[in-house]
Amino acid sequence: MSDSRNIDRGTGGRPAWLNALGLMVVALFAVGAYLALVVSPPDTNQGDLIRIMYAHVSAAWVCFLAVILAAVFGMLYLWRGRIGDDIRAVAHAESALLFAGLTIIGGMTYSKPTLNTFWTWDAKLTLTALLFALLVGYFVVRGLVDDRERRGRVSAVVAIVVLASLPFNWMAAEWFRTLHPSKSFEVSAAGVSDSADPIFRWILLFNVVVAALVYTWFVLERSRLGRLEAGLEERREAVAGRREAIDV
Amino acid sequence: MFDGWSPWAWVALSWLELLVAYGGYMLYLRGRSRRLEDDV
Repeated sequence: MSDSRNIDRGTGGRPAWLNALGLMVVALFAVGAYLALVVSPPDTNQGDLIRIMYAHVSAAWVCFLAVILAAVFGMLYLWRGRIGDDIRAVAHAESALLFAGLTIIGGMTYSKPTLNTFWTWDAKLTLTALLFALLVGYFVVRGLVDDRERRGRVSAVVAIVVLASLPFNWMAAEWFRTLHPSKSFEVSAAGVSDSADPIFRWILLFNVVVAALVYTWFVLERSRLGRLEAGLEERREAVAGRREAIDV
Repeated sequence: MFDGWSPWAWVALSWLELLVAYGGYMLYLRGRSRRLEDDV
Protein backbone atom coordinates (compact mmCIF):
# COMPACT_ATOMS: atom_id res chain seq x y z
CA MET A 1 0.00 0.00 0.00
CA SER A 2 2.82 2.40 0.73
CA ASP A 3 3.65 4.20 -2.44
CA SER A 4 7.22 5.32 -3.06
CA ARG A 5 5.92 7.99 -5.48
CA ASN A 6 4.49 9.79 -2.48
CA ILE A 7 7.88 10.24 -0.81
CA ASP A 8 9.61 13.45 -1.68
CA ARG A 9 13.25 12.48 -1.26
CA GLY A 10 14.64 15.84 -0.28
CA THR A 11 18.37 15.78 0.04
CA GLY A 12 19.17 19.38 0.86
CA GLY A 13 18.86 21.36 4.05
CA ARG A 14 15.92 23.36 5.29
CA PRO A 15 14.47 25.59 2.52
CA ALA A 16 15.05 29.35 2.81
CA TRP A 17 11.33 30.13 3.09
CA LEU A 18 11.04 27.84 6.11
CA ASN A 19 13.98 29.64 7.77
CA ALA A 20 12.28 32.98 7.01
CA LEU A 21 9.01 31.72 8.51
CA GLY A 22 10.95 30.64 11.62
CA LEU A 23 12.45 34.12 12.03
CA MET A 24 9.03 35.72 11.58
CA VAL A 25 7.55 33.40 14.22
CA VAL A 26 10.32 34.30 16.71
CA ALA A 27 9.63 38.03 16.15
CA LEU A 28 5.85 37.55 16.54
CA PHE A 29 6.41 35.53 19.72
CA ALA A 30 8.36 38.48 21.15
CA VAL A 31 5.50 40.85 20.22
CA GLY A 32 2.93 38.48 21.80
CA ALA A 33 4.98 38.30 25.01
CA TYR A 34 5.28 42.11 25.05
CA LEU A 35 1.50 42.50 24.66
CA ALA A 36 0.82 39.96 27.41
CA LEU A 37 3.47 41.09 29.89
CA VAL A 38 3.55 44.87 29.33
CA VAL A 39 0.51 46.14 27.39
CA SER A 40 -2.23 44.00 29.01
CA PRO A 41 -3.79 45.67 32.07
CA PRO A 42 -4.14 43.58 35.26
CA ASP A 43 -7.53 41.85 35.60
CA THR A 44 -10.01 43.05 38.25
CA ASN A 45 -10.17 39.61 39.90
CA GLN A 46 -6.90 37.91 39.01
CA GLY A 47 -4.58 40.91 38.90
CA ASP A 48 -1.29 40.22 37.08
CA LEU A 49 -2.01 36.47 37.04
CA ILE A 50 -4.21 37.10 33.96
CA ARG A 51 -0.90 37.24 31.99
CA ILE A 52 -0.57 33.45 32.50
CA MET A 53 -3.91 32.98 30.69
CA TYR A 54 -2.44 34.19 27.38
CA ALA A 55 0.23 31.46 27.48
CA HIS A 56 -1.99 28.69 28.85
CA VAL A 57 -5.11 29.14 26.68
CA SER A 58 -3.14 29.57 23.44
CA ALA A 59 -1.21 26.32 24.10
CA ALA A 60 -4.46 24.47 24.93
CA TRP A 61 -6.28 25.62 21.78
CA VAL A 62 -3.34 24.73 19.55
CA CYS A 63 -3.13 21.32 21.25
CA PHE A 64 -6.76 20.68 20.25
CA LEU A 65 -6.06 21.78 16.67
CA ALA A 66 -3.01 19.48 16.48
CA VAL A 67 -5.02 16.49 17.75
CA ILE A 68 -7.74 17.13 15.13
CA LEU A 69 -5.21 17.36 12.27
CA ALA A 70 -3.26 14.28 13.46
CA ALA A 71 -6.53 12.31 13.34
CA VAL A 72 -7.53 13.79 9.95
CA PHE A 73 -4.20 12.75 8.37
CA GLY A 74 -4.48 9.38 10.14
CA MET A 75 -7.91 8.89 8.52
CA LEU A 76 -6.51 9.93 5.14
CA TYR A 77 -3.76 7.33 5.55
CA LEU A 78 -6.32 4.64 6.36
CA TRP A 79 -8.31 5.68 3.29
CA ARG A 80 -5.58 6.29 0.68
CA GLY A 81 -2.58 4.45 2.13
CA ARG A 82 -0.16 7.19 1.11
CA ILE A 83 2.93 7.38 3.26
CA GLY A 84 2.89 11.18 2.98
CA ASP A 85 -0.34 11.24 5.04
CA ASP A 86 1.28 9.10 7.76
CA ILE A 87 4.30 11.42 7.84
CA ARG A 88 2.01 14.45 8.29
CA ALA A 89 -0.07 12.64 10.94
CA VAL A 90 3.11 11.96 12.96
CA ALA A 91 4.23 15.59 12.62
CA HIS A 92 0.89 16.83 13.97
CA ALA A 93 0.82 14.19 16.73
CA GLU A 94 4.31 15.14 17.92
CA SER A 95 3.26 18.79 18.20
CA ALA A 96 0.01 17.72 19.88
CA LEU A 97 2.10 15.92 22.52
CA LEU A 98 4.29 18.99 23.04
CA PHE A 99 1.30 21.34 23.37
CA ALA A 100 -0.59 18.88 25.59
CA GLY A 101 2.41 18.80 27.94
CA LEU A 102 2.55 22.60 27.88
CA THR A 103 -1.20 22.81 28.58
CA ILE A 104 -0.87 20.58 31.64
CA ILE A 105 2.26 22.26 33.06
CA GLY A 106 0.91 25.75 32.22
CA GLY A 107 -2.45 24.87 33.79
CA MET A 108 -0.72 23.79 37.00
CA THR A 109 1.26 27.03 37.01
CA TYR A 110 -2.01 28.98 36.60
CA SER A 111 -3.97 26.88 39.09
CA LYS A 112 -1.64 27.08 42.09
CA PRO A 113 -1.76 30.89 42.62
CA THR A 114 -5.44 31.25 41.59
CA LEU A 115 -7.11 28.11 43.02
CA ASN A 116 -4.45 27.18 45.59
CA THR A 117 -3.79 23.72 44.16
CA PHE A 118 -1.57 22.36 41.39
CA TRP A 119 -3.83 19.47 40.49
CA THR A 120 -7.13 17.80 41.23
CA TRP A 121 -8.61 14.71 39.59
CA ASP A 122 -11.74 16.36 38.29
CA ALA A 123 -13.26 15.82 34.83
CA LYS A 124 -11.40 18.51 32.86
CA LEU A 125 -7.96 17.79 34.27
CA THR A 126 -8.39 14.02 34.16
CA LEU A 127 -9.49 14.18 30.51
CA THR A 128 -6.44 16.32 29.68
CA ALA A 129 -4.17 13.83 31.46
CA LEU A 130 -5.87 11.05 29.46
CA LEU A 131 -5.29 12.98 26.23
CA PHE A 132 -1.59 13.28 27.08
CA ALA A 133 -1.35 9.58 27.99
CA LEU A 134 -3.05 8.58 24.72
CA LEU A 135 -0.62 10.72 22.74
CA VAL A 136 2.30 9.05 24.54
CA GLY A 137 0.63 5.73 23.63
CA TYR A 138 0.56 6.83 19.97
CA PHE A 139 4.37 6.99 19.92
CA VAL A 140 4.81 3.85 22.05
CA VAL A 141 2.69 1.94 19.50
CA ARG A 142 4.75 3.35 16.62
CA GLY A 143 7.93 2.21 18.36
CA LEU A 144 6.59 -1.33 18.75
CA VAL A 145 5.56 -1.99 15.14
CA ASP A 146 8.31 -2.53 12.56
CA ASP A 147 6.20 -2.82 9.43
CA ARG A 148 5.70 0.67 7.99
CA GLU A 149 2.14 0.15 6.72
CA ARG A 150 0.90 -1.58 9.85
CA ARG A 151 2.57 1.09 12.02
CA GLY A 152 0.72 3.80 10.11
CA ARG A 153 -2.64 2.02 10.35
CA VAL A 154 -2.42 1.20 14.07
CA SER A 155 -1.25 4.69 15.06
CA ALA A 156 -4.01 6.25 12.90
CA VAL A 157 -6.57 4.32 14.96
CA VAL A 158 -4.96 5.63 18.18
CA ALA A 159 -5.16 9.20 16.78
CA ILE A 160 -8.89 8.71 16.10
CA VAL A 161 -9.38 7.50 19.70
CA VAL A 162 -7.61 10.67 20.95
CA LEU A 163 -9.91 12.75 18.73
CA ALA A 164 -12.97 11.01 20.21
CA SER A 165 -11.99 12.28 23.68
CA LEU A 166 -11.75 15.90 22.49
CA PRO A 167 -15.45 17.00 22.63
CA PHE A 168 -15.66 15.79 26.24
CA ASN A 169 -12.51 17.72 27.11
CA TRP A 170 -13.71 20.89 25.31
CA MET A 171 -17.10 20.85 27.07
CA ALA A 172 -15.96 19.40 30.42
CA ALA A 173 -16.23 22.69 32.31
CA GLU A 174 -19.87 23.05 31.18
CA TRP A 175 -20.92 19.40 31.50
CA PHE A 176 -19.19 18.31 34.72
CA ARG A 177 -18.33 19.73 38.12
CA THR A 178 -14.75 20.92 37.84
CA LEU A 179 -12.36 23.46 39.32
CA HIS A 180 -11.47 24.57 35.78
CA PRO A 181 -13.28 27.80 34.82
CA SER A 182 -15.70 27.70 31.88
CA LYS A 183 -14.65 29.07 28.52
CA SER A 184 -13.57 32.72 28.62
CA PHE A 185 -14.95 33.43 25.14
CA GLU A 186 -17.94 32.01 23.32
CA VAL A 187 -17.40 31.36 19.63
CA SER A 188 -20.65 31.06 17.67
CA ALA A 189 -22.12 31.88 14.27
CA ALA A 190 -22.64 35.41 15.56
CA GLY A 191 -18.90 35.81 16.17
CA VAL A 192 -16.77 35.91 19.31
CA SER A 193 -18.45 37.24 22.43
CA ASP A 194 -17.33 37.76 26.00
CA SER A 195 -18.08 39.97 28.94
CA ALA A 196 -14.47 41.03 29.59
CA ASP A 197 -12.63 44.13 28.34
CA PRO A 198 -11.92 43.63 24.58
CA ILE A 199 -8.18 44.21 25.11
CA PHE A 200 -7.92 40.84 26.92
CA ARG A 201 -9.64 39.14 23.99
CA TRP A 202 -7.43 40.74 21.34
CA ILE A 203 -4.19 39.99 23.19
CA LEU A 204 -5.33 36.40 23.69
CA LEU A 205 -6.26 36.03 20.01
CA PHE A 206 -2.88 37.46 18.96
CA ASN A 207 -1.10 34.93 21.18
CA VAL A 208 -3.27 32.10 19.84
CA VAL A 209 -2.24 33.07 16.29
CA VAL A 210 1.44 33.15 17.35
CA ALA A 211 1.15 29.70 18.98
CA ALA A 212 -0.56 28.42 15.80
CA LEU A 213 2.33 29.78 13.71
CA VAL A 214 4.90 28.17 16.03
CA TYR A 215 2.98 24.91 15.62
CA THR A 216 2.86 25.36 11.82
CA TRP A 217 6.64 25.78 11.71
CA PHE A 218 7.14 22.67 13.88
CA VAL A 219 4.83 20.61 11.65
CA LEU A 220 6.45 21.76 8.41
CA GLU A 221 9.96 21.03 9.71
CA ARG A 222 8.93 17.68 11.24
CA SER A 223 7.22 16.68 7.97
CA ARG A 224 10.39 17.55 6.03
CA LEU A 225 12.42 15.32 8.38
CA GLY A 226 9.79 12.58 8.07
CA ARG A 227 10.12 12.62 4.27
CA LEU A 228 13.93 12.41 4.57
CA GLU A 229 13.61 9.46 6.98
CA ALA A 230 11.12 7.65 4.73
CA GLY A 231 13.37 8.12 1.68
CA LEU A 232 16.36 6.81 3.64
CA GLU A 233 14.38 3.81 4.94
CA GLU A 234 13.28 2.99 1.41
CA ARG A 235 16.84 3.15 0.08
CA ARG A 236 18.08 0.89 2.90
CA GLU A 237 15.33 -1.62 2.13
CA ALA A 238 16.26 -1.54 -1.57
CA VAL A 239 19.95 -2.17 -0.75
CA ALA A 240 19.01 -5.03 1.60
CA GLY A 241 16.78 -6.50 -1.15
CA ARG A 242 19.61 -6.37 -3.71
CA ARG A 243 22.01 -8.05 -1.24
CA GLU A 244 19.50 -10.85 -0.64
CA ALA A 245 19.10 -11.34 -4.40
CA ILE A 246 22.91 -11.57 -4.84
CA ASP A 247 23.18 -14.08 -1.96
CA VAL A 248 20.48 -16.27 -3.57
CA MET B 1 7.20 26.12 49.42
CA PHE B 2 5.32 28.01 46.68
CA ASP B 3 3.04 30.03 48.96
CA GLY B 4 5.44 32.93 49.16
CA TRP B 5 5.73 33.36 45.39
CA SER B 6 4.58 36.70 44.00
CA PRO B 7 2.10 36.84 41.05
CA TRP B 8 4.92 37.99 38.77
CA ALA B 9 7.03 34.93 39.71
CA TRP B 10 4.16 32.69 38.48
CA VAL B 11 3.77 34.81 35.35
CA ALA B 12 7.50 34.56 34.62
CA LEU B 13 7.43 30.79 35.19
CA SER B 14 4.51 30.29 32.79
CA TRP B 15 6.21 32.22 29.97
CA LEU B 16 9.52 30.50 30.70
CA GLU B 17 7.75 27.17 30.20
CA LEU B 18 6.75 28.28 26.69
CA LEU B 19 10.30 29.35 25.90
CA VAL B 20 11.81 26.10 27.19
CA ALA B 21 9.25 23.93 25.35
CA TYR B 22 9.52 25.78 22.02
CA GLY B 23 13.31 26.14 22.24
CA GLY B 24 13.79 22.55 23.36
CA TYR B 25 11.68 21.10 20.56
CA MET B 26 13.41 23.34 18.03
CA LEU B 27 16.82 22.07 19.22
CA TYR B 28 15.56 18.48 19.06
CA LEU B 29 14.42 18.98 15.45
CA ARG B 30 17.72 20.65 14.58
CA GLY B 31 19.74 17.75 16.00
CA ARG B 32 17.57 15.22 14.19
CA SER B 33 17.88 17.21 10.96
CA ARG B 34 21.69 17.28 11.19
CA ARG B 35 21.93 13.54 11.78
CA LEU B 36 19.57 12.81 8.90
CA GLU B 37 21.26 15.15 6.44
CA ASP B 38 24.59 13.48 7.28
CA ASP B 39 23.03 10.08 6.47
CA VAL B 40 21.42 11.32 3.26
